[in-house]
Amino acid sequence: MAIQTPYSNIPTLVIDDMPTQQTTLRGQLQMLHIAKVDQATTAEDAIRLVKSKQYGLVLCDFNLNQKTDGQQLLEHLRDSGMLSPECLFFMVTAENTYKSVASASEHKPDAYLLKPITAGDIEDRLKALLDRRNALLSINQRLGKNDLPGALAQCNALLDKKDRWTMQALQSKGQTLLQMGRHEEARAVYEQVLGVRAGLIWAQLGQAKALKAGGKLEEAKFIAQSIIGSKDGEKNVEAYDLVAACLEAQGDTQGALWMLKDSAVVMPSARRQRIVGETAYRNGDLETAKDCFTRLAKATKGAVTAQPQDALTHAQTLVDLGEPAEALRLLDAGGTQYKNDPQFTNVALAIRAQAQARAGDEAGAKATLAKARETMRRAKADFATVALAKAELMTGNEEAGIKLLESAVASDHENPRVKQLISGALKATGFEAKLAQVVDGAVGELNSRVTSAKGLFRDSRIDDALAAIEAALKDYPDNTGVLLQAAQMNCMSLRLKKQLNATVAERVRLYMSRLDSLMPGSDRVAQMHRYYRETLSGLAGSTAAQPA
Amino acid sequence: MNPQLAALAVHDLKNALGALEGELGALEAEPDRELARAARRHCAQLRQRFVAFLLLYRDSGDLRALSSDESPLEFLRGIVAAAPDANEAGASILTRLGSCEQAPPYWFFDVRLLRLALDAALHNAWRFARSEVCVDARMEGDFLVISIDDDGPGLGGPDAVAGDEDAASATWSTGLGTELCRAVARGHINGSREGWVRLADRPQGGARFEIGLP
Repeated sequence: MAIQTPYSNIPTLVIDDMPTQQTTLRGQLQMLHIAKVDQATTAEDAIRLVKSKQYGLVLCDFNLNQKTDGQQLLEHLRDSGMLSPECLFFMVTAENTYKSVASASEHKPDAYLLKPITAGDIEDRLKALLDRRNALLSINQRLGKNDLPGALAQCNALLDKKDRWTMQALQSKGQTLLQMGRHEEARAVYEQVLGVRAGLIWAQLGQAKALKAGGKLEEAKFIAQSIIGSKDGEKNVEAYDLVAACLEAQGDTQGALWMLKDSAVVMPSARRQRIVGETAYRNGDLETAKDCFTRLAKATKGAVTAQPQDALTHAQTLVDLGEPAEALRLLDAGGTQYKNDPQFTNVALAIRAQAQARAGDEAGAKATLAKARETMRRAKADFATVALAKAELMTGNEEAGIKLLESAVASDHENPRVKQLISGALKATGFEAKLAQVVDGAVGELNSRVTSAKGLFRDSRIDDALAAIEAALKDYPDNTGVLLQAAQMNCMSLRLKKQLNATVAERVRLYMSRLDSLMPGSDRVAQMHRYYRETLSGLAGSTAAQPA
Repeated sequence: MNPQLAALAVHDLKNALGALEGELGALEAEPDRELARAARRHCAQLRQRFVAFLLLYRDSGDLRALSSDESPLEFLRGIVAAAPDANEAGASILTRLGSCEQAPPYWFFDVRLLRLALDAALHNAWRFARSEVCVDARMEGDFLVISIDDDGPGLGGPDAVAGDEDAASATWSTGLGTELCRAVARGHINGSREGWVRLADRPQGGARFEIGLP
C-alpha cells in the first residue's frame, strides 16, 4: 500500500525541457510520495495541461530554453487566471541566476528552489506554504466569496491569537479594509505594522494606497516615491504604478508616462513594455509607443506572452505616425498568427482600412472599411470603436466617424482614458477642432438624462427617478458614471423607504459587480461598495428578504 | 573575498571531496546501505559548503537579505530535524532544540541565507562537539538571537596542530563558516541596526556561536 503523506494527493506538474532534470525532479517528488505527477517540456505543453487539469503544485524551470522563460510563463498563467489561486508555483533556478530572477519579477512565484534540489528542499517549502494556507484559510475562503466583513472578522480572530501569523493577518486585514473602502482604518493597520517593523515594503505600499483612496494624492506619492528610493524597493513596480496613478488622477498624464517608463527600465519585462506602450499611445507620444511595441514584439515573438492587442496598437501607432506600409506588414503577420481570433480580425480590418487610406489606396480602403463595418457590433468606449471611427474619418465619412466617436464617449463619459483616445483619434485624422463637439454632443445628452433623474429624486418621485436612471443605463450599459449613479440612487431609495427591498438590493449588487469588472481596483467603486454595505447593514432586520 | 581565505576554502572542499571519494571507494568494494546513506549525507553537506563558498565569493560586501516574517521556532525545528546523528568522524552527536521560551512568535529574516549560515555554524559545532549540540533562540533587546552551543574543547581547543594539514584545514573551515555567518548577519538590516555574530567560550565548557538579527 502506498505511503500517505500530507502531500501525496497534490496533483503536480513538472515543467522542464531537460529530460534528466525532469527525472530528477520526479524522483524527488516520489521521495515525498507525490505520485500524481505530469510533465511538460515546453511552455505550450504546460499551458495545455494547466487548461485541462487543476494542479496543486507546479515545479517550473526558469530557463526553459525556449522562447518563453519560466517567469514569463508564470505571468501568463497568473494574468490569464489559468492557475487556481490555490496552486503553488515553485520556480527552479540555478544559483547564479537566482538573484536576478528573484529581484526582477512582478508576479512572484510562491517559492524559489535553487539547483541542485533535494526532496528536503521541496518538503520544507511545501510544509511552510501549506501551514500558511491553513492558517489563512478561513480568511481566504471568505474573500473568495467576496464576504469582506466575514474576512475581516476572521483577520481579527487570527490577530487575537497573537501567533506566528500576526503579520500575515495584518496584511490581509489592510487589504480587506481597502477593498471595503475603509481606507482610514486600513491606513491605521499599516501604520501599526510599520510601528513594529519600519520600512516594510508591503506595509508602506498599503499605507500609500490607503492615502490615495482617501484622496491624499501628494502624501501617497511621497510614500511610494520613498519606496522607490530605498534599496529594498527600487524595483518595486507597484510603487511606480501607484505614483503614476496619482499623477494621472491629478491630470499629469505626461508625468505618469515618465513614471511608467522608469518602471520599464528597472524591470524590462514584456508586461511593462505593454503598459508603457499603451499609455504612451493614449498620451499621443507615438514615438515612445512605437519604441515600446517594437521591443515588445521582439520580446514576445513566438512566445505565449504575445497578445493580439499588442499587434493592433502597434499597427495603429504606425498608421498614426504615417508609416502605413509597415502597419500593413504587421497586420499581415498578425493575420496569420491570430487567424482564429475574431476580435483581432475585426479590429485589424479597421486599421487596415486606415493604412490603405494613408497609402493612397482609396478603393482598397473603402472595400476594407465595408468589411470592418459588417463585423462591428455595438459602439463601445474601446479601441475597436475608435479604430473604426478613424477609418470612417480617413475615408471621407465624417458624419459616420464623428457619430461613432460620440457613441464611444457616451459609453463611458467619465473615463478620462477614453477621452484621451478620442482626442488622439481626432488629432491623427485632422479633425482636432471637432473634439469639443464630439465630447459635448455625447456628454450633453447623457448629463441631461442623469440630471433629470436626480431632479425627480429631489422631488421625492423616487420610483420615477429610478426608472429614468435605469433607462439611461439600458442605453449605456458600460457607462461607469451612470452605473455609479444608478447604484447610489438605488441605495438612497432603500434608505429613504427604510425597507430592505430584495429586488433593489440585488440590482445594486449586479451594478457593483459590473463596476468591479469595468473599473478593477477603483477607489470610487470601493467607496460605493462601502455605501452599499452600510445601506444594507442599516436596514438589516427591516425585512426577511436579503440580497444574495 | 580574501584570496587567502578563498584558497583555503578550496583546499577544504578538496579534502571533503577526497573523503567522499574514499567513502564511494569503500562502497564500490562492498555495497552497504548505511554507508551509502552517510555518503549521500556528506555529499549534501559538501554541496551546501559549495553554495556557501559561491555566495561569499560572489556577494562579499553586498549580501542583502530578502527578509519576510517567519517563525523562528518552526525554522529551528526544521534545522534540528535535518541534523545527522553522527559527525564526519563518525562520533555520535545529539543535536537538540533548546526551550526557545523567549523567542518571539515571528521575526524577520531571510530563510535561505540564515539556513546557509546556520548550516555552516552547525557543521563546525558538530566537528568539535563531544556528544551534544544545542540550538536555541531568544530575544536580546531588539535582536533575535539564535545560539548554537557545543560541548567540545571551546575556541582555544587544540584543533590546529603545526604540520597537520587536515587539522589546519578544520580551523580554516571554521574561518570560512564564520565569514559566511558574518556576511549573512550583516545582510540583515533593520533601520540603522545590522546583524552580528558572536563566538565565545561557554563557562561550563565548549563553544557558543550566536547570530543576532535586528
